[in-house]
Order: sequence, then C-alpha cells, then structure tokens
Amino acid sequence: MEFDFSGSNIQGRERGLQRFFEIVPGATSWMILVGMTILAFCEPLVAAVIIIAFDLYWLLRLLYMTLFLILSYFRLSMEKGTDWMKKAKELDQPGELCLKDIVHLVIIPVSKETQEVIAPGIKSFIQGAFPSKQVLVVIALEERAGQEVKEGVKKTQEVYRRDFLDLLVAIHPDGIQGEAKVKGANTTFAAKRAAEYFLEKDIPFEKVVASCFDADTVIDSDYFAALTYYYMASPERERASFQPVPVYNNNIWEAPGITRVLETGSSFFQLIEATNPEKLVTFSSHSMSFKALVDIGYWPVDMISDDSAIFWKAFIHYDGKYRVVPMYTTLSMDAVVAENWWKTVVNVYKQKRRWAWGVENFPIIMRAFLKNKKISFFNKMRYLFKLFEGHIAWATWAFLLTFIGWLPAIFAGREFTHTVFYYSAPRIAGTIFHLASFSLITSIILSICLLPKSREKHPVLMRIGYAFQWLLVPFTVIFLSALPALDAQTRLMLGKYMTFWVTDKKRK
Amino acid sequence: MQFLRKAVFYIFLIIYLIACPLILLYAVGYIYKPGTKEGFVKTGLISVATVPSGAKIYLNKSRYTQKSPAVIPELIPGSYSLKIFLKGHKEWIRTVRVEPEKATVFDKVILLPDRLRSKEVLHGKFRDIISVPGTDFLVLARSEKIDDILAYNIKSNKAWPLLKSGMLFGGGEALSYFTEKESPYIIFCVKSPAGNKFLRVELAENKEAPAEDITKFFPTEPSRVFWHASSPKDIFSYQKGSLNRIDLDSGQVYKKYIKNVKGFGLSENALYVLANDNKLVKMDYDKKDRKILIDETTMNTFLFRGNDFYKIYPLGQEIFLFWGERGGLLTNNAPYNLEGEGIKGVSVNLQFDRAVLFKNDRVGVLDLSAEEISGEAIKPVKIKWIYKNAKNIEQVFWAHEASHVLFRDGNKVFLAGAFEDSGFSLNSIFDVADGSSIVYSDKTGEAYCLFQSPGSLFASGIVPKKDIIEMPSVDTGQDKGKKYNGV
Repeated sequence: MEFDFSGSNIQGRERGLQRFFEIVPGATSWMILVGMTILAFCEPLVAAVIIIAFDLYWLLRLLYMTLFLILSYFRLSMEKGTDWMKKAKELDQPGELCLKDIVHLVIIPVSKETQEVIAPGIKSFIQGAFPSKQVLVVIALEERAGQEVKEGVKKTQEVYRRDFLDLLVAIHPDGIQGEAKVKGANTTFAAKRAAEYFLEKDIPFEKVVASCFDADTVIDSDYFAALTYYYMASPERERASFQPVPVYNNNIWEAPGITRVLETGSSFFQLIEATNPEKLVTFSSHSMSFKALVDIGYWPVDMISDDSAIFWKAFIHYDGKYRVVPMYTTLSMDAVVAENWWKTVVNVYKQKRRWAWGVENFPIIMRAFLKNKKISFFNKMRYLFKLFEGHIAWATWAFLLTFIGWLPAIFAGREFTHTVFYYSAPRIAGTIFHLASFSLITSIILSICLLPKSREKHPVLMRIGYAFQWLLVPFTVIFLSALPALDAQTRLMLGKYMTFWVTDKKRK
Repeated sequence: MQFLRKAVFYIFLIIYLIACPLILLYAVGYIYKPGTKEGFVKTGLISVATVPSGAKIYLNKSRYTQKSPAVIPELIPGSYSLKIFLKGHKEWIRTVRVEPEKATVFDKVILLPDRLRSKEVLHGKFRDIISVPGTDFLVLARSEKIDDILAYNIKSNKAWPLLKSGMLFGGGEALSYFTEKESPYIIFCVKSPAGNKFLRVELAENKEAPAEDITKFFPTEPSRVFWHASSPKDIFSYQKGSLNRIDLDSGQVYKKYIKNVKGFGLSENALYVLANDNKLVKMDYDKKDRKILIDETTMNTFLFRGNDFYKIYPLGQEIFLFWGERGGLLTNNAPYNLEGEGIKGVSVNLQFDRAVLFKNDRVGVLDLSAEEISGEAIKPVKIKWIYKNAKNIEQVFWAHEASHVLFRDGNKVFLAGAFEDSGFSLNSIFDVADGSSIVYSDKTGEAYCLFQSPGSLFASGIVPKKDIIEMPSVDTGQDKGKKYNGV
C-alpha cells in the first residue's frame, strides 16, 4: 500500500485521526496511574486485588522473559564460533545470488561524533571475515557539523578509503523541504547518494545489503559474514530486516553503574525479542535489503525513531509481508558517558526519552492500518497490541510496582485494616518480589558473561562491583526508564513534539 | 524457538488463570482444608504488635514460632486463648474471637515491666507539676509563689527558674494558668497587691526576657484564653458572651471581636464560633470566609443549656464536640447529647479521631475513626466508659498513639488500654504524693511524678524509647484556665 509514513503535512480527517491517536498512549498511561491512585484512595480493597493480580502477571511475565533470555543467550554463545563465511559459500546459487556478488552498504550518520568515535567502527569492518572490498561505506555527514567533526571525517576517508569498495562522504545540507532535523533525513540523503553510486557501477540493488549503524558501532569480526549468510538463507530476503543484538561494550568499563545496568537491560530486551521473530521490530543498528529500502522510499525524514519506523514503513508498504530476522551476533556501541555523573544521568534520561519517542509510530500505524485492507485483522491486532502494550507497560509498570502498589495499604480505612486481605496482600507481594529476584540474579550472571575483558588491574573486583550495580535497578527503572517514557508519551499527547538530540558518548 | 515460545506462553497463561484466583482467595482468607465438606474454608487472622517487641506468643497453649510483632494467619473462626509473654514483664492474656475474613488486631499492646522502675530526674522539693502538652517542657512548683516555679526540659533534663530574679510580680501567688497544645507558652494569672495580673511566659532556656505582663490587654479578667501553637501572638479571650482578640505583635486589642458567643474553638487557620442562635460558624482569623457548619435546625436548641459556654472541638468528618461549662458533652450527630453533666475534662486526638473524657468517677473514650465507614450511614457516637467507680479522677493523658489512657484517680495512677487494638487492659502503675499532679509525655514515653510532696521529680518509663515514633501531635489538650491545683 502506498502510504506517506509521516505524522506531519497531513490535513483534514487524517490530521484529526493523527492527533487522536497521538493522545491515546499518554492518556492511557496517565489514566492507569491516576486511576489506580484514585482507586487506592476510594476503594483500597479493589485496588489491592488489582495490584496483586498485576504483581502475579508481572512475575510470570518476568520469569517468561528470563527463560527466553537464558535460551537466547545460550544460542548466542553457541553461534559464536560459527564459520559464517563457509556457511554462506554453501548457499551460493550461481546465476542468482553468489557470495562474491553481495555488496554491503554501511551508512554511518555523523553529526557531532569525532574521529575517535567513528574510526574504531570503520576499522572493525575491515577486520572481519567478510572481504571489505565488497563493502561500501557512506559517511552521512550533517552540513551543520562542526569543523573538527568534518576534518575527522575527511581524515577517516583518507585513511580507510582504499580498504573498501569505496568510502563516500555524503554531506547532508540543512533545510531540505519536508525534512526535520533528524537522523533519518541524513541517512536517507546518504542512501540516495549510494543508490546513484550503485547505478553508476551497475550493481543490482537486490544484491546490496544496507546497514545503518550509529557512528559508535563496532561490529563483531563475523558480523558481515553472518549477515550475508542470513541474507542469502532467508526466503523473500528483500522483504526482511536483519536485527543483530546490540551491546554497549565499547566503553562499558568507563561508564557509571546506572548506565551499565540500563544498557545491559536494553541488550537483554533485544536478546529476548530475538526469540520472537513473529513480532520483532527493528531497533538501533540493523540491516535490510537495499532494494526494499529504495522501494519504500528510504527512512522517514521527519521522525526521530527512524530505526523502528523503517520497519513499520516497510510493513505497511508490503501489506504486512515484511518481517525481521533475528541474528545471533552482536554489534557493540557506546554506553552513555558524559563529563560527570550528573550529566551522564541527564543524557541517559534524554536518550531513553528519545527511544520512548518511538511511540510516535503508533498514530501513524493506526492511520495506515485503518486504510490498509490487505493486512489481516489478526496481524494488525497482534502488532498493535504489542506496540501499544509495550509502551504503556514501559511508562506505568515501574510506578505501579514501586509506588502505587503500596497505596492501598497507606490509604486503607479502618474497615480495610481489619481484614485478612490487608495483612495478606503485603506478604503475597513480598513473596512475588522475592521470586522475581531469580530474574535479577539471572540478569546479573548473564550480564557478567556478556562483559568484555577489562583493561583495569583488578578485573575480578570490577566484575563483582558490576554485579552490585544491579541493586540500582529500582532507581534506574523508575527515573531513567519509566519516567522518560511517560515524559515522551505526555509530550506526544500534548502535541509538544521532540526534536532529535544526539547522545554524548565519550571514550577514554 | 517460536513453537517453544508459544508453548511456554500458554503454560504460563494457564498457570496465571489458575494461580491468580487461588492467590486472591487465599488473600481474602480462604484456605484448602482437607476433610472438610466444602474443601475451602474461610479463615481469619490475629495481628500482634507489642512494646517492647520480641515477646513470645502462645495461642491455645501452642507457642507461635514468631515473636511479636507477628501475624498469625489461617485461623479457623472461633475463640482462642492468646497469651503474650516477655521475660521481666507482666503477662498479657486475652480470649480472642477470630472471625472469617477478618483480622483481629492487637497492634498497640503495652507490656508493662513486672516492677516499673522510676528514676529521679530532678532533685528538689517540688509540690506540683504542670503539664504543657505536646511540648518538651513541664513546669514544677516549689510553692504557690510565681518566682518559686521552674521550667523543665524533659529531653535535655535541664531545669531553670521560670522568672529571672527580681522580675515581674516577684512573690506574687500564681492563681491559675492557661496552656495550649504544642505551644511553649504559658499564661499565669498572678495575685499581686495591685490586683490580679496576667503573665505570659515562654518556656525556653537562655531567653533574655521570657516573661511579659499582658494584663493591659484584658479589659476585664477573662474566664478563658485561647491561642493556637502556630500563631502564639494571636490570643482570644472570652468575657461575658464576647470574644476579644489580642494581637501581641502590634499591641492591638480588638474588643468584642465576636459578639454573642456561646461557644468557641480554633484550629491553625479557622475559628469555630457557636453563636447565641445556636448556629456554628467557621471563619478565618480575620472573620472572613464565613461558612455556616451547623444551623439551628440541625441540633435541638434545647440541647445547649442557657448561658453555658461551650468549648468546641472540631474532629473527624465534620464532627464537633461541644463541652459545656457544667460538664455537658454534645455532638452534632445522633444521639447529640453524649453526657448531661459532670465531664471534667476532654482531650481530643485529631490524628486518630479519638477523644478521651473524664468525670469524677469514670473515664471514657470516643472513637470517631470507627464511624468513618464509607458508603454507610454514620453510626451513633457513643462514649465507651473504660474505668468506673473511681474516687476522684483528676487527670487524663493519651499514651502510645492514642491507644491507651493514663489517668490519675486521687493519688493512684492507672494505664488503661482504651480500644480493641490495645486489648482493653487496666493496670495500676504507681501511687503519687497526695494532691500532686502527674505529666505523661508521648515524646519520651515516660510519666513524670512526685512520690513525695515536697519531693524530687521522678520519671517512669511506660513505653520504651526505641518504640516511640514521634508524630505531629494533634491532641488539643485539656481544660484551659483551670484552678491551679496544689500550689
């Protein structure tokens, strides 16, 4: 279906629908939080019953996710030593798709990242098993970037150009009509430049796999080989995105505890999601067929959440016949680190709010789904429920579990305080939280396993310290996860639209 | 993986659908009892919390594994013998009725030591003690003379003369005094050769001029004086059916600030005035924002006796108590007339919506929190007499979060559990010197008394200090302007 995947420049009924669906997520989250608070005050017994039912649901969901986190982690570990190149070669189909014909396009958007941030990633492309001469790197440089950044890009191009099929720099001018100051506009501009390049060189788009990486992305040595294999092995490969597991290991040892815990949580979430490809949506750095990218009209140029929006755009364009293939390989990015602890916290908050701004997809998808008659109702509901419930849970669960869940006991009147329920509810909640600690312990163990080697003198002590940082979870989930999500939904609800903000990432 | 995920999802869904109702049933008190006809039986529980904590709990002679505080769940409805025992303390034994789905709560049990230990905290020859409720102070009198009175800080254990030597009215006889809850001020009426004088004293150590002659602010001698701890320089005096307002900051006296007054009470921001026409009006200190809370039709006008003055206590959900000069106690809800006469003192605790009152021969409590049952009609307010047949009750104090009442009957001091959560206990604690008062401080959990008159000040621990949670006190205090007994 042809659909303009955008929330702006729409008029009339479409505008009204867009605004209505923008209000729905924030209004739902606030209704849950305020409604439960009022209920706890007016009808503490009813509120307590709901809270216990919710706590149990949360526990089972947590254990369910932990189980698949473990399974996913084991699969990731098992596939670590796979010779992807060999496996890809076995899939060679002469005359159709051969390994030697595959070209990887890597687009790296740069706005304020210096050479120190970009260079390690580009170097990692060369060091992989896949021949870098089959890789086209395009640095998507914002025209408004500072002189130091521009010089860094230029130097990077000079140093590494010969190692690749080519290394282009596409300077994205400011103020192109219809564009917002977002990453998608920059990467789209670069992708169009790459398309011209492929046309010039007579490289068919079907044989190009496009990856859009954050500037700090460092890939595993087998990343392109694995991606090539997954691409070649996938039926209807042009209707699929390929999602690796992002980890934030580049500077993990320099990052403060809260950042480590949060970023590891994001990696875990992606590992769990990988076990559910039916509902998987692209996130952060990922890859897809270049032909599909061109067909759907590249990334949205006026949306912040381009990483997930590109999936939805393709999903609607291909009438639901588009999917995400999970790849059991990692690519590493930088954890948020600023000049000091407080600035890091502020940056983490802003980064999570930007991620949570992915809720901007909801009204557009709703409009598209209302129009699209080819996607089955079941499929629409399945994806919509996951998207909607995911965002609402993100913004409300932590508050329900930590604050609102205890309100019935606080607001309880004499009538309620003299019931068995008043005494048993906290004990049941306590037992549920104790059982949930199994999940926390699992997370601690797996997070330690995922850590890279420390360059510090006492790596064992560092890891023990890291384990204790998980005690920060209650703080981080409330203030650096739920609160920014609620903030993002509230902004969308009130029509206070966000602009793209580049996260500070520093390395020693 | 996809299949496994779906399979596990459905397993978890089934677990949830089965476990959730079972857990909720357990939460409300249902347990599975093999052998019973229904299978599932409704249970109740007993919750016990004591001060001091760590007491052993026996239920029908079986010892419960946990020590207090403890919750004993899954009890089949019926009667149980509950014994709480802590070494060195008096046993606490009750027959307890457990009802289905209900919690029988004893969370305010005070375990008194076998032998209550008293320690001398201030050596001297004191004849009486004055309570300054809700503060860290009490006042000690060596004689009737105003310059023979000491202030005492119960926390720092320091005493100092109330008046500096050579100050106002030295040698004058203290006739009566006025205090207000949580206010560190005390107003004395002092007999001097020039007539009765009013002395306002701040209870503070190292204060240059703690005393101030405020006689000129009273056009005629007031029968009652009121102020609120939050604005101690805004004083109201009652004289012959009118209220005067005194602004000590500006030195202004607003004579007959409110006329035709039959009753009066005040809170931090509001004045409550019962007019001669039996209307209760709420207003701010500047007489603005007037709101009629009770009109003359609400309460039978015959309930208010002729020219009696009524002290008004606002509490609960728009419930008021009216305590008349002749000891009548009225309220604005049925049955309106709580006690016809003889009430000597009323003390209200707004935090727990409770009131304690006493007559010569009995002590009673009102629990207005129990009336606040949403969605139901308010039950009639009723005084529960917790102690009768006394000789002469003269003082009553709230203790341990308004669960107990400490009172003095003549020279005998008693501690009574006033409500269900305290188990309605009654213990004689000690005897004090004839005619001397006592003071109980919820801040220290200690009762202060004189065992001999004249004699030293002693403190007896009733509630262990570690178990005291300091909460903002909202006890409105007792009778103001009473005769200065024993001095």
